[in-house]
Amino acid sequence: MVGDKISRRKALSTAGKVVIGVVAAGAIAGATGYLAGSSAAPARIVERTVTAPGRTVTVEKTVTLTGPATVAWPPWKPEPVKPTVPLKWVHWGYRPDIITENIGIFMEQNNENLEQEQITGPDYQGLVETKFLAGEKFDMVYGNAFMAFRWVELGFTNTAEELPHIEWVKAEMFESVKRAYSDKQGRLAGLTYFVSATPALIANDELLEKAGMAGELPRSHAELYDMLRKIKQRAPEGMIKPYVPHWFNAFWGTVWSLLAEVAGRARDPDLTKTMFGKDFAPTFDAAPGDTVYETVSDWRKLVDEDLVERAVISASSDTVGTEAFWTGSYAFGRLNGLYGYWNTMDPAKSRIAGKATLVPVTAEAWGLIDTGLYCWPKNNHDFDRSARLILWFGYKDNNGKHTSADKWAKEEFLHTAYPAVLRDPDVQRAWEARLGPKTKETAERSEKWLETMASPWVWRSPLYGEWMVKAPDYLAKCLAQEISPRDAVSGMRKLADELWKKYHG
Amino acid sequence: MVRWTDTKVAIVLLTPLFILNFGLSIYPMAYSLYLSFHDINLFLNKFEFVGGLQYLKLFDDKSYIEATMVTIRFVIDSTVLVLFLSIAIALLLNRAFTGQSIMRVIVIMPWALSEFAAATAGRYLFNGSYGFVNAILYRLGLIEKYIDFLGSPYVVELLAFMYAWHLAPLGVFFILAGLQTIPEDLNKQAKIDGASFFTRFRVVTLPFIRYAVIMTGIIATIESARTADMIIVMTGGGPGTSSQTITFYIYKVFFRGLDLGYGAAGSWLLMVGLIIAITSYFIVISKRRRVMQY
Repeated sequence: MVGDKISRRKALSTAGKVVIGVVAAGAIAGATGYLAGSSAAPARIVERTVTAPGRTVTVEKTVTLTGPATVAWPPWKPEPVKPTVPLKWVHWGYRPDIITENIGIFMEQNNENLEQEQITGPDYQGLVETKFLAGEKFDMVYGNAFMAFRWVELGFTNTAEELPHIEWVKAEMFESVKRAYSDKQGRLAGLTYFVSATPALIANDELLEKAGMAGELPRSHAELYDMLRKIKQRAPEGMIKPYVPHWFNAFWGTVWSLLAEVAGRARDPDLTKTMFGKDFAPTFDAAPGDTVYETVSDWRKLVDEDLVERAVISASSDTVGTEAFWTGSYAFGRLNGLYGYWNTMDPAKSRIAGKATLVPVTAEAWGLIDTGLYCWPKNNHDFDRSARLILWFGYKDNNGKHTSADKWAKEEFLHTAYPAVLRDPDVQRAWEARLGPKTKETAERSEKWLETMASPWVWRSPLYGEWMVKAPDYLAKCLAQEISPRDAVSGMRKLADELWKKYHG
Repeated sequence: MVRWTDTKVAIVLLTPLFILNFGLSIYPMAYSLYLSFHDINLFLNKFEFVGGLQYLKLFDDKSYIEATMVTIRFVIDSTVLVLFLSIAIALLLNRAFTGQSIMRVIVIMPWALSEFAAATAGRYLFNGSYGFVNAILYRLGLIEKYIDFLGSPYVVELLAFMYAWHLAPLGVFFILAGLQTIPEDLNKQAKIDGASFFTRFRVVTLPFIRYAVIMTGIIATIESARTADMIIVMTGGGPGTSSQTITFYIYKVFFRGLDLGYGAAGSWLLMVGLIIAITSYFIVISKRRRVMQY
């Protein structure tokens, strides 16, 4: 074609079409990239050169596939003068050293002033709500998912939807986590501090080998319980009991174990078919065939057959069970969160470090969402400053990095809503130092746990807050062999009926 | 010039104390009484006066009644153990021996610990899988397999034992102070008269330490009735609900369930029970005093 003559009119027409085409392609590509929201994809330059008679026209357009996040982040500027009134962050204090370090980076990057207040202990929720009721000003607060929904509903906190550019944040999240964080109206109740699944099912490789079951892992709760029976019969040397359950007297003990197991067994991740419907009305019953009843009955059989570590039933937190499992005298253990596996692999804490396996999700899901959210109090010191605080910790820092999530992932195996962080080679390298050859399989398995974990719909109802306080008593009495599974489930159902009537009837 | 009478000075000096006491005790108590006559629900935006309904509900609440029985058992066990340990240790420390001062410091240590720390120690001591007590008994050949102490029917007694270990040192020092006021001659004379150890204790020692013993009993009763940390840390109210005391139950209802009116009513009922118990102690003391006077 080079050297062929074309008319001036045709040349200009061709050049015009190319320009329009390129701009249109750029716009389409930009929009696609924006919707895809993949911040990992590089910016792309589209270039076409057209030679017209007498001159060459080069048309160039930069198309960003990532959406505005990579080019315009952060959507704020540091404070010109350090504010005299500090922002306040209320938290439950896990690893205060990491918290303090992150606060330092945040203040430095933004010329900010941030104070922290730590509330520890099981009455965290009550104490935080006392603060809300007293009209205290604070700017960010940790909350579990059910707390976050409750606080939004009560008007104590804003949803994350009001944060600037929340669509960029959402585009990067696991779908399962996004669903789990969404309230009744589908609004995000907060941003992610961590997200994990509980109770993690961990196998003690050494005891399984001694029991002649090396490498055998259960695919369902029924298979797990069958294995426990076989292990007891084979009585491997050094075993106290085959199983450490997650059945202690706290809301994240028996009740969460029940929710997780029922969801897994019935393949009902939001538990609307098996426990509480979309209208929050209870649907379970003390009748054969009902998954809740069958689950509680199975638990009781495990106790009656002396397959479980009973000390857990007399405990008020997960510590007793976790420490028992770490002695290496149990074949399977249910530990708090996927981070429970990380700690099991720590030789300073556990005798089975390097000899434990996170059981994969194959047939049934095992876990329930165990998460911490950064919630955004309505009664804050300054709307924009507190919004920046939430975005910085719950999403990205001033340099566009997931600084907070990245640190928690590397140091504590705390997963996050952002898969990009979990797949980051630096993060995986940090895990390798402790998990060694099990790193790859554990990373893959934990993502699968996160994708399949249960997230109860009933957490969006106020009835859950009261139900979770009283329901453990029924389960605890049943496991202590004081009442039958039928009475336990009937009691929980009666309680649920009363509460449904109170709040939704 | 302002004339500072004794009354004025007293009022000025007592005012900060009164303000502090009003802010930290009187107002919260009065407010809690006010709450106990209301049905409060944050979600339903409800703050409704219901009279004595919350109190009536308590009498119909099986969990509260069970918790009351557990509390009575725990308080009796703890008080008896505290009194026994306090008197025994005080009698030992009252004797002259080498290292007496060091022993007195060691004895006070459990009291210096927080209740939380004492309970944590108890949890490790009596753990059914790797507890220290189990290990000792097993090594000594006294048991064939580890015992699940905290899951046993005697869990309330174990809790009471740990509580007494924590609280008894206070009683020891009350009683020791009383013992040191006994004239040595009285004991010597009783010995010459051929009185046995128990007779000497009853006739000579007890009258001198009676008020210290009663005070220890009162403190042990009040403190054990309102303890929650020991239960939360050691057993979480388990196994089942067999170690769930009223305080722990109220704590769950109030702080975790946020049923503020009902929780407040439960606290006030507990307080009434305690007032009755303490009043009966004072009746016993004053009766005894009248018997002695006439």
